[in-house]
Amino acid sequence: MKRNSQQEELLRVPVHMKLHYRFPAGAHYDKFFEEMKETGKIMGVKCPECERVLLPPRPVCGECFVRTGEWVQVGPKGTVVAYTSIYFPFVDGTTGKPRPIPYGAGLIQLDGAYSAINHILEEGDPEKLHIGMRVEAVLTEEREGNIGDILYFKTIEE
Amino acid sequence: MNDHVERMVLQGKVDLPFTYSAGKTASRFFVELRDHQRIMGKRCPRCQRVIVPAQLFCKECFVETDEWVEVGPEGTLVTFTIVYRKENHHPKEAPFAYGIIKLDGADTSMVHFLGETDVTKLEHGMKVRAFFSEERKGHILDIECFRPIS
Amino acid sequence: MGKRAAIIGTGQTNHCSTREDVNEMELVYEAATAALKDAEMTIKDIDAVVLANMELFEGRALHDMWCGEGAGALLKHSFKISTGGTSGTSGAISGYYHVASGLFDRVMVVGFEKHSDGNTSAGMALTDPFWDRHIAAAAIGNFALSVSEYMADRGVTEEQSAKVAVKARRNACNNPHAHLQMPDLTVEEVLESPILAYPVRRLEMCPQSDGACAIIFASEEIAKKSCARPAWVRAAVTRHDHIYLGEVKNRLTTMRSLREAAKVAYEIVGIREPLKEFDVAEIYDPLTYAEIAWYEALGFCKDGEGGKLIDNGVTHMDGELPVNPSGGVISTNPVGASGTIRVAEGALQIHGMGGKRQIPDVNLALVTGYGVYCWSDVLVLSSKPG
Ligand SMILES: [Zn+2]
Ligand SMILES: [Zn+2]
Repeated sequence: MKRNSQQEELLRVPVHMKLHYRFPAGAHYDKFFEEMKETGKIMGVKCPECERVLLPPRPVCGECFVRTGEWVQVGPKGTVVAYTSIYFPFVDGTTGKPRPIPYGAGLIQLDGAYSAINHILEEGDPEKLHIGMRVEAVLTEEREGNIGDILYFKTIEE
Repeated sequence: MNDHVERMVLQGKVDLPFTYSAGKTASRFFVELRDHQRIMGKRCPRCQRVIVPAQLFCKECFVETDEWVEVGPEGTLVTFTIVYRKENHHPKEAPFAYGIIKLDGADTSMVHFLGETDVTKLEHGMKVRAFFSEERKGHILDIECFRPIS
Repeated sequence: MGKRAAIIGTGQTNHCSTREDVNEMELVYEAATAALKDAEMTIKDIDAVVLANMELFEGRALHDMWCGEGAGALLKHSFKISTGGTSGTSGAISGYYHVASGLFDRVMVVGFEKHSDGNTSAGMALTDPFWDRHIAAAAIGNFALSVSEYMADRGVTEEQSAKVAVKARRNACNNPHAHLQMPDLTVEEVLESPILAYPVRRLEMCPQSDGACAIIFASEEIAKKSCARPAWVRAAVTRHDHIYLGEVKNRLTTMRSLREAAKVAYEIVGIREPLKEFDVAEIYDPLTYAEIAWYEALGFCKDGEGGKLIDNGVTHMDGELPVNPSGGVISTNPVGASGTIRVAEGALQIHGMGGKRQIPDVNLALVTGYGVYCWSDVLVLSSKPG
């Protein structure tokens, strides 16, 4: 079953699939990315009921199921709550090419935010990473209004 | 915020490789096309239909097919269409035609390209014949197309 | 309360990394015919078919119709369920609902995945395009994030994790369908395997398998008539949590979707001490650390004591509560089928048909499903209709 016999030729058909999508941001993400592009500020949105500051800025609080309200600036400093370093090779599904490895990744709780943001850490060596470490967002010079405007989070001493 | 006119739209791309296992039955079908320019079906032991392209099991009876049967290369054009609009995702540049062809000796029909895009030369029920590609790779396009015969 | 329903037949393919001898539809056919044989039925007896598969991996439009024919769904009532890794258990829950509703008497559920057709890691990384597609590193990377957090929270060690891997791959040797069978695997070998994403090592992670699994649910009357020891579904609960990792606090430590699903399921059946009351558990363990975390979320022990269960052999084949006699997801992972396999293996234990992996005298089995990132299904199967 696992190995085909020599007489029997088993064919596999390669197909490369390229698809294009348009993702409308919606009003909340739209404001978030515009603010980041124009002023470099990272903005969360507060739930009027549970008072958590959400990032991504959701139009509805998932816990309370009510519309979120006030915009609040968060970060750019924050705390690493989880981290990893990626060593295994894999195809980046958005480019069809291998993602460069290794790289550090973490969940960063920005000062003033409840939820954490999943992003790249400048430090990729797990020996030098730990939970609770302080980091700060480093933004690109020329911002385009997408999550890539945050290049990575760098380690800071406080 | 409602006075925003231009909304952000993120352009996304998905680029993925696939490698589909043909399985032993379709593999033999493709190998026959490639090596012998033969179109093969398989007969269902229960309903006796010859299923083309060959399938491991009969979908009507839910039992494995057993006997291999050569069909065609001539057959009947059951129906057809001609695509005129050019689109990036089309398998060929328009205009191109494709149809449903019931090969002689088969009880089911197969979908394939037609080598004729002049609508006045295509007719329901007309006889067609498979034309094989010069370079065959063990793929459904080893049959290049079906062309009307007189 | 719905009507009583039981599992009266199961069927699995041989699972391995590449099944070149079949295409995906034929893989489904193989599992479906095996289940029909086990239940001593023909496809004509089946009223409805539920398919379970994770979207995107095989890159096929109308996947449900394409594979539906393999499951014998032609001109029958049929749906596809797709809830990520939980697809297989959610499909089984749906199959149960079909019978429990009283509208159908015999329902077949088929979970399937042909990973070798596509590129699973790339597919898994197609997460939210606004927030984390640039960083997502398949299931492994996202898990690894939570593992570092879990180790810090609970003090679980690498050795405890490695022991789970050894248990799983050794158990798999008793399961003729399992993908990774490693009778001689040692803790040292696990710890020497390369790090995929810190701190997760290759031998701590599930493989990618080709495989399918089918289950047949039947109404009370039919189950009693046609099966010597039906596996009665006593509870079937599903819960989901947030999809963005940053919105979930201490994911593995809390796993509140699993805790909530288990709590509700235990209440329905009246289970107070799961470790004592269950005879066997087939839980969805995508990696070693998750299995330890699930011990805690499922109430097998107090929070922080999951590592001790594996240290003390409590979840081994001869332990108080054997967990994953089949080898689990760590040994076999055709994603859309992985949950269905858990249900089938739980049912098999109650049927008493587990062969070399059979635990003696199983009357109550716990089954779980897990999906990225925080989706949980819990089923309780019993030899008694309740
Ligand atoms: Zn709220
Ligand atoms: Zn037939």
